[in-house]
Amino acid sequence: MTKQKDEKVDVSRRSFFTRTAKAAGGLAAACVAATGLTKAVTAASASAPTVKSKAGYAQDNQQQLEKMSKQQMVLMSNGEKDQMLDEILRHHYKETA
Amino acid sequence: MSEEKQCGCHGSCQGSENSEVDESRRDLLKYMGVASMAGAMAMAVSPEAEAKAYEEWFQTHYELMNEGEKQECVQRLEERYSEEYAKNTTVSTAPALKGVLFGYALNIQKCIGCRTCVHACVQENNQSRYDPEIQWIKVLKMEKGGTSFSEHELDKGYPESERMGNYGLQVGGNAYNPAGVSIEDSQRYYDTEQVPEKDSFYFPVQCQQCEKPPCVKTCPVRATFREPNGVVVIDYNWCIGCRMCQLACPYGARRFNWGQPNLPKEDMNPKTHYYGNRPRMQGVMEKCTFCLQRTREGRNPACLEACPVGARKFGNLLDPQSEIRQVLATKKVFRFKEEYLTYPKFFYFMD
Repeated sequence: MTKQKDEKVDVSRRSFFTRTAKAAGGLAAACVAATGLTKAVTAASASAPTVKSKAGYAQDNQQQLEKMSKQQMVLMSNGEKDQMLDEILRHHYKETA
Repeated sequence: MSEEKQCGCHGSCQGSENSEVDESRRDLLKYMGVASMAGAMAMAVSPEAEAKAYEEWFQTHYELMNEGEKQECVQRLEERYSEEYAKNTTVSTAPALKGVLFGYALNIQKCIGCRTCVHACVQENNQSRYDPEIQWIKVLKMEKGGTSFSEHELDKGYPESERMGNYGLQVGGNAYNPAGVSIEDSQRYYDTEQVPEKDSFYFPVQCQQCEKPPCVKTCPVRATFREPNGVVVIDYNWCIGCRMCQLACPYGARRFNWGQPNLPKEDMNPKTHYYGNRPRMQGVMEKCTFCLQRTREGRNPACLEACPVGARKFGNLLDPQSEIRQVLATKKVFRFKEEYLTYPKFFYFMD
């Protein structure tokens, strides 16, 4: 009777370990799979032009148009040309800290 | 007897549990194998590649690296690009030439708006080819008429030029009689069968390589800076993609990579420079560098070489005999109105 009881205990312990191992293995496998799939999905979504990135490019274009529309192209007098060149060259040779 | 040994139940389970355990274990191993394979395939990168990506991601500013680190960095990039684009790719680190200050001039009388320069630039500098094609040069079309280019108009009206001095506000006319061109009515997306169109002229706009660049001032991490030869460059690996420089640029010359750039292997130019045309990544800024991978070898920028009408001039502003200085000395020169005190080194001129 005692022997039979011991055997039952052995069996349930083994099944407990088995189940634990199964659960741990299953969890690990699920983690690996989930990580891999997440990465695949992320990589795919990064390479494809998303709505957000398209909107970003469009917004940049619009921004540049607006900036340029405020610009004015002006003719430089000889005096201004000299001054500009002088300023640029002086700035170029200036020692900086 | 053998069954008893296997399951240890002395025949009470009649092998049923044993077979269940075996089956579930096999299943478990099978699932784990499949999942691992799926995971590995999804990752599809070796640990070495991961390590390289990690190193690249966490590398410091290129200017702050010692020689050993620079060599290692360049070698890593060359290996990655060569593998990625299946081409023997070189990443030059040639420094800025000494005694040189680059300037650029464009003849708006000659420019026909054909956009050959735009496409040459895209090819040379490894820009994204589609979704969308990133272009560093934008050509604006303007209608002729309603503009005054006459030099004598500059000194007419109020305030008097004498009171204001020879420099400054008076340049470009005055409130009553402006001498210049407003870009407000320009068209950027003109699509005509033939260029140039009658009564139109064209302004290709690209980075003006300002002497006092506002983009550099705003960069919070100094990823963009002005080199001694006057060209403003970007360390793509140090750029954090905050886009402050883009907001600061009054000419809209900077382009942000919102997505992963689409550069087909066959279109990739394998001769690159660290600060120039090497392939960029998502989330970083890029712009014209006067093709520094070419100019540092004594060659002209790709846009200049491609221009079919010879409208573009490039040279050293420090050399009084250079073509660019001759243009400044002898031609009618335009520049974008100096409201931002940026001192652009990109000029527009007429004969």
